[in-house]
Amino acid sequence: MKNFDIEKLERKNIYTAPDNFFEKMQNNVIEKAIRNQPQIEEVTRTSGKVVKMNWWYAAASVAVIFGTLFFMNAEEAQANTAIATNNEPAKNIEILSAQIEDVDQTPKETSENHKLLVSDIEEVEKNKSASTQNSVAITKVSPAKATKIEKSKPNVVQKEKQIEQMLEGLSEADISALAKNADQDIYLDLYY
Amino acid sequence: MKLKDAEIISMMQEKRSQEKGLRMLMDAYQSRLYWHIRRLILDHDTAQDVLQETFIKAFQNFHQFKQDSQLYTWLYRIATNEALQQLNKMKRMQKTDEDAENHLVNLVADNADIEGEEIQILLQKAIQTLPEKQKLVFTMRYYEELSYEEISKIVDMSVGTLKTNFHYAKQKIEEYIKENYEE
Repeated sequence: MKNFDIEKLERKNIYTAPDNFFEKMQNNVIEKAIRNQPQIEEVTRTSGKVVKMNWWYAAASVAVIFGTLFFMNAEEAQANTAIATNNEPAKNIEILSAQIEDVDQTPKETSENHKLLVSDIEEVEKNKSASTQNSVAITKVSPAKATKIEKSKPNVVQKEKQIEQMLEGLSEADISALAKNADQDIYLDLYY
Repeated sequence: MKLKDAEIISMMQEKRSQEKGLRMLMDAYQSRLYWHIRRLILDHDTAQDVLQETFIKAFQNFHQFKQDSQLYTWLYRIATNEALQQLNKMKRMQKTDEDAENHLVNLVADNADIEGEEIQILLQKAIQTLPEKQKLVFTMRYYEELSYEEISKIVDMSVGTLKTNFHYAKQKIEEYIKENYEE
């Protein structure tokens, strides 16, 4: 076969198809596409509901999470404030103790007031160590517990009052002598 | 757009008349689509499944049909995609491309009418040795007598590419027949 041209060839179909298969095929299509459609829709609707419910659950979960976080942050802020408030007396006590150490380095002080001051200082030092422990404990505890610690604030206030009473017992001359021996610190202004 | 197509489309868009519309759609295009698929797939049962899937997909995605194109072009596109997917599945089951080609050539013999002329059977075997694109263009142009413009819309290829593909396909087929025909 030398000069073969397929364009000249008759276009015949060599394949055959069973009779009435189109009818069967159409019924299958209708069955799958339309008859099953309500089921599909139902499933979709059901799943749609589920999805909707899931969204509600998801939204509610998110709200709960944010709400919890908000309250936790609020508590933490309160705790921080409490800690900050508690730190002030501790700082004051530190300053006082520094001042007292300086006083110890002045052997000239022999007045009764001075003796009283020394005994008070010892007491203050005890209080200071107790307060420091207290503040360390506050920094370590959880924010929730901070409120409980805040209740211990009256003790600190009481100690402050004691210091104030102690300072009241000092004459102006004693205080000025203390001031001379100590480096001026802005926090000392609090006690004037 | 043909009047019948417009009627089918309008019926398919209404839920009440969907079934009737789908039946009209199948009545209008099932034969053309079946033979298009059958020439690519060769096996009747598989071709029937592919045709069925084509109509189900057409029904399910009818909302995506843009009415600026013709209905049969859209249907041909779905059918071609489905058939090519099926062919790929078939090829994956074979170890090599050569095995896949031999499998298709054997399928021609298995599915051909006993009274079929030898030259016609050879022609079908030759078509199965073509690369996919050439096979697709050749069957659409040679058997279904679609214009290059129509084929272009179905397979997303330029008319120039289609002409080149058809030319090479024809050349290869003629060579195959010349080599294999026994007078």
